[in-house]
Amino acid sequence: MKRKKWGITFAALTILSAGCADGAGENEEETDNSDVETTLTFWNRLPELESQFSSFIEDFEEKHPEIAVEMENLGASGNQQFQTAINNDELPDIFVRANVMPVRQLKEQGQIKNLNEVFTDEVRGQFRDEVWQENFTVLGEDVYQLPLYSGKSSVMMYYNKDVLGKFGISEDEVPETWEELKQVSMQINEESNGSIYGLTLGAEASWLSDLFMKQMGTSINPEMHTSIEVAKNVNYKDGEVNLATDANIEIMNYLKDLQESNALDPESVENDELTAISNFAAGRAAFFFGGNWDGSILVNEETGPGFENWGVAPMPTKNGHPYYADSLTKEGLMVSEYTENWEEVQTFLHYFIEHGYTDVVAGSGAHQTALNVEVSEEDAPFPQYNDITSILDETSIQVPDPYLRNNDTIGAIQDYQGGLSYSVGAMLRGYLQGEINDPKAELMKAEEEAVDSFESAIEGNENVSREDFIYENWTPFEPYTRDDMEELE
Amino acid sequence: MAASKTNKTNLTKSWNRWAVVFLMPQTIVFFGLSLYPIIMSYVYSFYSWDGASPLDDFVGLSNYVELFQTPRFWGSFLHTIYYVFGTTIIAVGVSLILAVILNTKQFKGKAFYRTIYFLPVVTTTAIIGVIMNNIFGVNGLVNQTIQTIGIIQQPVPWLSDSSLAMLILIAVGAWKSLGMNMIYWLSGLQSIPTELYESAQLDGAGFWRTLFHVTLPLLKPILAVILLLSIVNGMHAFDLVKTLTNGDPYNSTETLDLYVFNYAFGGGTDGTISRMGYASAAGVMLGIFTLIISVIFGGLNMLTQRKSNKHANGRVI
Repeated sequence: MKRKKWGITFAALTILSAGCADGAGENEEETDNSDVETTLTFWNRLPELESQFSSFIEDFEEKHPEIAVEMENLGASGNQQFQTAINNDELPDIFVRANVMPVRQLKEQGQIKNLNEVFTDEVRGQFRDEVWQENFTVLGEDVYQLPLYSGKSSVMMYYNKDVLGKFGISEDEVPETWEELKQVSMQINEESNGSIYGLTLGAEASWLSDLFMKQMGTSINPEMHTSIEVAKNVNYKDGEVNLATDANIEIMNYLKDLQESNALDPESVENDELTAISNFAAGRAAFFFGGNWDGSILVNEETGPGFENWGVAPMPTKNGHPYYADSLTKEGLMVSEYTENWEEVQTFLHYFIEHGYTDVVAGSGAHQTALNVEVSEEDAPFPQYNDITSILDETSIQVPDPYLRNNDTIGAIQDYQGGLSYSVGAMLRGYLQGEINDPKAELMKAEEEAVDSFESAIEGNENVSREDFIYENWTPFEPYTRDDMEELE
Repeated sequence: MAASKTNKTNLTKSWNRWAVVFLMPQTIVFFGLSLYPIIMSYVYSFYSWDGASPLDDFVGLSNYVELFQTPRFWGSFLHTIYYVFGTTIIAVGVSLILAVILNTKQFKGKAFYRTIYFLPVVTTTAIIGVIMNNIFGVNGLVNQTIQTIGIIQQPVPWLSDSSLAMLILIAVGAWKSLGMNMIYWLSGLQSIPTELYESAQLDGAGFWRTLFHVTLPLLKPILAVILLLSIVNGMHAFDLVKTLTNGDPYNSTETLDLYVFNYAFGGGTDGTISRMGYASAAGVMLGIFTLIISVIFGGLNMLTQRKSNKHANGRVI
């Protein structure tokens, strides 16, 4: 009897394991390729480059049949995946940098490989000068990240030509000031009997609101830089944290006024970036504030609405004055220190440098390339690409870099930003939803919290002082170079 | 005699071995996937840790001190209480009414209605959240319908107004757990001996009198179980909140579980940084709150039972 029972258990386990083994065998058979000697793992977390990376990898595998690349596109849980991989020393061979940990910390923990072998002086010379940024692409003289984009990035105003045409508004009449935007938007809403709005936002993506408010705000408070990653809300003229600025208060009140005048799409507070883009493309609104990458989403038929009849202009500002955005080379490819296929990885990186910037980065039209690549009108991925690029060139400017001035500010900034509970973008949304009655008071409250966090971060990092955040020789709207930094020292 | 004793001992040994075999996987899973993370979350809560760096920055109780001084944490605690209270009252009450109706002999199509009410239970919560988010959006089905009928001119901000958003969250949460509670109630109702109903009928008791004097008193033990499960489930509301309101508007529907998630995995495009240590402290507090509420509830339940036992004994005497 006893034997019988054990026998049944054994048989059951055998069937189960046989089942597992069969499955594994099939998979192996499916992926079996006699030429492949090495398989590289690659994590991509940039949705705008997914399809371009896929076809690039196909080309690469065709040219290098001995190397296969397994790409995984990371979704919303990408950060958790990175955290786990870092904890277990299991980062893939190649990966797009995640916002989980500063580059210096990744290097200190022995997670990322020095790429100096790939980036010889000759190779580095092919890239735009501004892409070699401390704690993003380089640490001192050493390269740790292959930069994908030039770092130029800004929010602009997209306009729907179909909607403008319907209400007799020409492209020359695209608003440049707040008042003009309000008037045009009210006109559209009235003439459409309330079915079409002037402006739509993706305010659910509070980071996007944060970005456009900071950038628009530089036309009122130019001394407030616009980065949300480096020393957020720190005034580089006096080294103080400011949230309750005139710019923030005025922008919040202006958008509330647009909402109350039916100039702003009420759905804006519930929409994320992609839904707002779809609404804009569907003709629900004439204008949309989006990043330079949104042009590639608009024309994309698979991941976007596949809409072509649009134009792009700088965002309107209070008095039509220009605005600027920080230029920061954040995104790039990194290599795991634990890779066992360093030679093959180098082959991949070299191939990317040779072909990737035209095929992947310029091909997507989402960003300007880190490598000096001229994209002619015929080669542009879509007709508006060069318009976006020229707005980027006008608006995106290098600002002081505390990381370059003092490497220890990396830890301090991480401590400071870890103590922030509220973003200006989230507050704007709260105000538009009626959850905040007095934006100034709410901004003051958030400022108090941010000041405390900033001061304790400075106290907790002995080699860092407020002086590291004061740049007396910086003139907003003028590029701040390494020479300026040296002059300051 | 001795042979039979030996056989019995062998049989017991064999059964014990089988018991160990069957208990082992569950025990391993419990220690590895439940107990270990619980213990580690206590450990992490004493560190300033981003979830990926080495665990070397011991900060003592400072995460807890910061937590207690943060209005957003207490706000999320309050929202959790609202959610627990709202979903428990609605889901437990309505499911009892449904179970009583579906338990009546004369009612036709019982199986159909039971399936309909049980469907939300087997549907993935996140999918329900996403669908309800679309239905109650500014241009969602509800607004479109009532605007078409002409009840309202402007869309109702169901999910952009804090009170309405919380009401929708509670209503959807209650609807989701209605089916499961109904099954518990039905099992309780069907365990009541039919003789009791026959005696009550012979004594001339009508529907309501039978309900209040026979059915409900006998359902008290099952009520305690349903209440406890509803409270504990409500305390851990996450997937529905994340997909339906995502804590909006302006954190007014952020529950404790979502608060923990937001701080644990906050790193991302808005430049915020993951604070696993702080989130662990919030998670520990969530566990403690759940324990306290469960103990209070268990104590109250015990007191009520003792009281009713005393009352029943007094009657017998």
